[in-house]
Amino acid sequence: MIFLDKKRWSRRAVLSRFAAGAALSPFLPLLNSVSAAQSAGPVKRFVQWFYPLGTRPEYYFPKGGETDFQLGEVLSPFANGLREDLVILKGMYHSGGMNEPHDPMPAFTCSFTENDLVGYGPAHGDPDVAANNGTSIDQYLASRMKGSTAYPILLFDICNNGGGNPVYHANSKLNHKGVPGEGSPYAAFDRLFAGLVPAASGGAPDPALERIRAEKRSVLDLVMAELTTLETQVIAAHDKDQLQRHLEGLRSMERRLQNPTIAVGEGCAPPVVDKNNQIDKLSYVNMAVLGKLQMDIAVASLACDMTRVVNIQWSRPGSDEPVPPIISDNYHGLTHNPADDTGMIGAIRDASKLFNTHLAYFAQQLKSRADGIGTMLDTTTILSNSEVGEPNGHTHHDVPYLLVGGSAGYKTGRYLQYSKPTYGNRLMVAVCHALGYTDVQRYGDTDKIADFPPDLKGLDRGTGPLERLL
Amino acid sequence: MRSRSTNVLAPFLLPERSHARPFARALARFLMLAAMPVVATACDGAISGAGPDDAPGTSGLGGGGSSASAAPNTGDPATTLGEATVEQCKTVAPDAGVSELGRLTKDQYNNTVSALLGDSLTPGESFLPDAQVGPFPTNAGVAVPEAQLDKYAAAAEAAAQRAVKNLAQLVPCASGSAVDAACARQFIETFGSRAFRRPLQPPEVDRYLALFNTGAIGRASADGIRLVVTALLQSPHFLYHLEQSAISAQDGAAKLNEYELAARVSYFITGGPPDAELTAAASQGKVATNLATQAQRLLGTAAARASIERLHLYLLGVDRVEQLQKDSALNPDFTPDVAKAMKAEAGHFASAVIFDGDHTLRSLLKGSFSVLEPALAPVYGLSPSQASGMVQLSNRSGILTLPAVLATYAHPNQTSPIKRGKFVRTNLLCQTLPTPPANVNINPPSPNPSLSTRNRFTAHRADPTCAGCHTLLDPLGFGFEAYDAIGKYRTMEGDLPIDDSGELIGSPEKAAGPFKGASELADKLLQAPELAACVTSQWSTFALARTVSDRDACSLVDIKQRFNDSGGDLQQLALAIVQSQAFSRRRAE
Repeated sequence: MIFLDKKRWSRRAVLSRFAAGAALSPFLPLLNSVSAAQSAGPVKRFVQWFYPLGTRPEYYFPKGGETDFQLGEVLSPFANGLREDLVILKGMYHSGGMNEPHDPMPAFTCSFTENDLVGYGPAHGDPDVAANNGTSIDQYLASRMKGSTAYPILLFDICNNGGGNPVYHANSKLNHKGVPGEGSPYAAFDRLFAGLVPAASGGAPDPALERIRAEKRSVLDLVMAELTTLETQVIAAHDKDQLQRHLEGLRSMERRLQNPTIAVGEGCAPPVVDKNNQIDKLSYVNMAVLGKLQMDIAVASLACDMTRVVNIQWSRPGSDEPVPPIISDNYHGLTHNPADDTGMIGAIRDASKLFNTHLAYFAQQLKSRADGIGTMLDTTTILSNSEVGEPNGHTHHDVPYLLVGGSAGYKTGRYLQYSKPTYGNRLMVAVCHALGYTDVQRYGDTDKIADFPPDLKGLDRGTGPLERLL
Repeated sequence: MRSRSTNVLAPFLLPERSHARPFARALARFLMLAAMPVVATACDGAISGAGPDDAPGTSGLGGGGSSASAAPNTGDPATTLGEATVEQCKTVAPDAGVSELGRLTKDQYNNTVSALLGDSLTPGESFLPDAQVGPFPTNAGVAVPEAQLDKYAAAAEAAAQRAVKNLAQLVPCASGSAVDAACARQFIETFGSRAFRRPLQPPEVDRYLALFNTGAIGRASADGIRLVVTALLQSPHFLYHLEQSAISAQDGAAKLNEYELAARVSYFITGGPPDAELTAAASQGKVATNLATQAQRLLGTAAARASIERLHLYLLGVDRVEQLQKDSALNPDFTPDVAKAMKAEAGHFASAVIFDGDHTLRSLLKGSFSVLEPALAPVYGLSPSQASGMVQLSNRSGILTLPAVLATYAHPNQTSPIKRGKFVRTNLLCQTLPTPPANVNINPPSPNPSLSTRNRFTAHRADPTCAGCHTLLDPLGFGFEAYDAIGKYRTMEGDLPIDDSGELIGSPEKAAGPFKGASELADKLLQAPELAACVTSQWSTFALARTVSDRDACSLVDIKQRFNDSGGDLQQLALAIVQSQAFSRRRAE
């Protein structure tokens, strides 16, 4: 439970509180002078944003040059006030290790991890190999920022409830395993905000609340002691790892108990979630409404500095589900229509535009909240992508990697075109640098790709940050 | 081309161990070749490996594929496989695959809390999704998501709060509202051992007693008890399937101790923790020596029915019937109530065969009856009063014609011979098929009143790109044409008469050939040893809650042999699994 401290109302109070939190851990080494000079301060937050089944390149990519570009139809939702917050990247490849178009799956699992997928995993009848290879950038950054906020990372799923293995379809991955997100905005709200109560006036703690906290701490102490003992008893490394992660999770729960207030002030307020009129989280008809609830909760959690890493996942890779009101049946099935089917082409364009409309809303919410001399959007990097470039061809090239916000870390308002295949690996390195982790020089599998088509085979995916971005 | 894949042919083979265990490798290869005639060669020659698929039922014996040197066994697969491998396995030391640390699934959590507290609430429903092995939920080897820890805490606090409201029932030694130190200790020892599925060590008891005092001193005893229950329900000893018996330095494997074995058999058969009798047996060291008796007894419980029903919902892939979208103009009978009843029926049919009937795989595929709810009346063309309980049916053949199955493997607006053919191959025969290539139209041909489904789907096989695989699927699926997109029996499709003749082409060899309707298909499948091999593999995966590996090969041979010897008795299959070497052993890594 986190206690809402209404006494701390002023902006100064918010900042001092956050400063105390930052002092607990070596968060964010100073960024280089270029980025620090730009605006609100360093980039300090990261949002990983996924939507399914790619886009249509002819409607997605802008026309024009690096700064004088004109947005295409799919990104037109950003035209009104957010154009200067974008970095649109063209020529980006997924590093999926197998041929397109024969094998669509590898790209699905390589989004945000930039690891080759060597197989499909036990859930798909392939027990020899690990699916979901690697660790996605959201989890990696969360591990680097651990301890700086109440929640290292918050994951929000929106209608990721199709068949199959929900973990497999997660885009957030830790050590080769999918991490499922919270699909219910009501559960997310309860976890983050329902327990908020005003702190007692005059600085004297409410004895009843203090008692509850003390009880929770006693329970936690016992369970943590058990886990610590157990960890020394189990033999296998994979079992130890599980127990360590359990323990780490409890430690962050413990931190929330020790430091149970959040400062309510400028930009930080619990989101409005009507728990008395709950809508069905399984129903695709509700996708937009569920999405707005999840986005509002995510924005509030960032604004209140409860977390600095958020994952928002719409539907899931290879989604066999609808995207109302555009696609009423199976989106994936639709993308397999004949290549020249204009109805299909229009639907892919419109669906990807819809997801970007949501992204623009989300970005606007951050932009409307001040942070230092700029806005929260300046100090938040949103990285959006999909599992494929163009879904009819299951393409791995020209995947729609898009940066929104983060102008504190790199110059935005740009359209960067890469003429030779450029892999997501170096984009991940650049994102790490923008957030202050300049020690990162490689991300994911950076060696040569053995199984790519002849024209790409042998290309080194490279190290160091993506050229021209930072 | 999946050139990166190590060996899709043989899921039993774990490459890193192949040098250390040449015999196991050879054995596994032999098993695979004998049991799994090549599927993929009949598919498009360009796709050499058995590719992955999103269909369930592909773990363990699943697979197929081709190899230049892999001459299919020419003898009778059943006989050859049985004799040869049983003989070979005699010289193999008992072994088991690696069991990674597992955490209670949502179902198991609900059942375990319910067994402990008599609490009928199901907090697990709001937990984060379980991971899977094959089609079955399991959290083995998957770290607990951080958000789930908050859910465990909230569920534990709420359950404990409710439980202490009836203190006398929860803590029989309480005197009114007072619990003295001796009583608290007794409660921790008894309740704690049920929560941990083993007796507590003295330091553990002391630890919980200290927590009791923290809660109770200066306040009501119930607060102390509440804290103890809250902590027990968040303890790793409660949340995980901990197996800690000592690993032998000699062979790297361990035999489970009595309590561990009791927990395994109980969670497999009942989906919940050991009951009092099983726990008592463990305390007397009588589980391992009476495993079959205990398992047989558990099979008689209501919990076992529920658990085996769940197994079948996952195995058949019909656990999402309620989420199916159907064209309501074409299928006005497919209401939410009907969908719910279909799912219930699928489970009830399986348990009727396995618990009330002759228990056999034959009846599971051939049974001409079902267990209905009135909501299903329109699907079966019966009156609501007729559609209640056990009902004899004509034109039905067990799981093959359950409306839940037929509706799942169909489109919103028409049947799908492809999906139904694939269901037979993947779910029932554990074969894997490659996914369709990109740039290929995988949308079904649109309904057309002047052409039958058969004609329309036959046309798409004219495309040679598709024909390779669809030869394996479509003719097989045509045998289900007498059932529409929600599983209603039909003799006409619009103005066109139904032709439900089908053909199983290629492997399994013993089942190959033409047939008419689902019942004849069932006869064919029952002649193929691959069916029993697949069922064995699926049930073993469910029971072990992990992928079966090469180290389990001899266990599987033994289980399958016993299953076949019993005449395909599914209760005997469960007993053979719990008595297998793999079931009572584990390997940490």
